Amino acid sequence: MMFKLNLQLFASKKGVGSTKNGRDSAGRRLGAKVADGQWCHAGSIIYRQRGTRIYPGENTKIGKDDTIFATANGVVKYERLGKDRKIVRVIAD
Amino acid sequence: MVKVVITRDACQKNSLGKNKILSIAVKGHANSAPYGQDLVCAAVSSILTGGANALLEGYEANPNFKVILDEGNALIERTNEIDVSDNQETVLETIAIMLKTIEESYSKFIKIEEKSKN
Repeated sequence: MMFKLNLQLFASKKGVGSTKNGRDSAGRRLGAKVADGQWCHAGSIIYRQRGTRIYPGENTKIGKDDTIFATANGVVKYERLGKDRKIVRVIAD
Repeated sequence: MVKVVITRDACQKNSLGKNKILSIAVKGHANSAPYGQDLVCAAVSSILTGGANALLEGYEANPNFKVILDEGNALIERTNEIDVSDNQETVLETIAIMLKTIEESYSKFIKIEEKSKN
């Protein structure tokens, strides 16, 4: 025969090379652990974060990884601080 | 998508009563599946390759047609007006009909356009 058959004459480009991407770390489950108006124990974690998205207020402290936790039993309150900041505080029993 | 352009003579008829096919140009990629599994591409490739072989079988010395079969680009073009036999006209029409048959079922991957030329 004059022409040899190539069944993929009109197929898309040959298999593209592999990618060096495709890796990702597991989610860190950040965010609020106690909701606004919820009661919590002293020492319990209220908010997990990277950097200070939320600042510690009354009866709360901030850990070295910016985690905010309660220092007294009571009800959690999230509030605004100034124009663009948020704080969380605990209203002690 | 594979684009097929069938150019026919505006006046001259072939032995089947249809306007003579002057050229069949096929371009593009079917992209109906990854390389190696593309069924539409396989169908179009085999029709064109088999058709080209049938067209030139026995006419190697005086082929009457220019045939190009490259990746993503095929052309069957009439180069001689006088000596084209009825068999070759029939093979040309067969190629056109087979491509249209594919288009009927896989219009998403192949599109045929007919043009006439004086």
